[in-house]
Amino acid sequence: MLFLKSGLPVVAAVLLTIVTGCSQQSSQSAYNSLAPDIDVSGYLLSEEPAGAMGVIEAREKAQNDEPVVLVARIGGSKTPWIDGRAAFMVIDAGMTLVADGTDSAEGEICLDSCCASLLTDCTTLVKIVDAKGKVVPVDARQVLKADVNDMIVIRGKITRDEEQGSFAVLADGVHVRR
Amino acid sequence: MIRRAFFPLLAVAAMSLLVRPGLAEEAVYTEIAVEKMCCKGCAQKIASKLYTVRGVKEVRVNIPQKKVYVYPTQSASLSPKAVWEAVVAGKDNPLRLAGPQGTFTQKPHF
Repeated sequence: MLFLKSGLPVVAAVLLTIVTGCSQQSSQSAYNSLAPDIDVSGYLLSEEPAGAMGVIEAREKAQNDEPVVLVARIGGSKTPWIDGRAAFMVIDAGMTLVADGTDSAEGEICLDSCCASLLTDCTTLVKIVDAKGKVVPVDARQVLKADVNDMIVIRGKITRDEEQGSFAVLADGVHVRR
Repeated sequence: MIRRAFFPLLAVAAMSLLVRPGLAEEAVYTEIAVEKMCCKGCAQKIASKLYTVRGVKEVRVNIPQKKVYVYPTQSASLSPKAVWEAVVAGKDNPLRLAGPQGTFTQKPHF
């Protein structure tokens, strides 16, 4: 009886460890298993590049092929990561501001199709590319060691096609604000 | 008996801390009282500019009170001047800026 009373919390602790450990391992291995043997450490910048602008401003002002430093939050889509490739969606960080006090719903963003046109102006696709301009074939989660909603600063250049309405950032380095 | 029950409870308490990281990392923030911010759109314009300041981790707002709160990353020390200028770039006027580096009612020099 004494064992049951004192041993129950230990069993609970062990189970908790197993459950949290297993769940972290499974989500990690989901993209690690796809990763080829490529050194991606150079794409993660330890220092934040200067002169950042937001996604909305970049969409308004930046020209095709223009160098840019972009600050944004990972997100803007229900599934911002592109599995197995160093490409992901970001959203203008100002759109995700957190309301303090009474109006707590202000920071919520609708990611459903009903608001897709509104999202277009404040989101963009980011592709981390190698020296040849090819998208790095490693999952961005592995390159950045970051998660959805993390703040990042992207160094790269804009690629846009006015006729097709396409806009993206080709990044050669990314800094994660931790 | 008490000693036997104590250590398992201690283990559970330690585990609960391990699986909830980050709760004790509340950074020192900068509070800015602004003149105009009246809606979500105004707040987003200001926040967009504030996020371009180096080291800003999160921006929060209280629209009824016209207050903006800027939280830095763990290692960053925000420039009050850069924060002030970002609010102006977001089409508003700071009335008072209070943070770890002091309280200002005019644009700081650093």
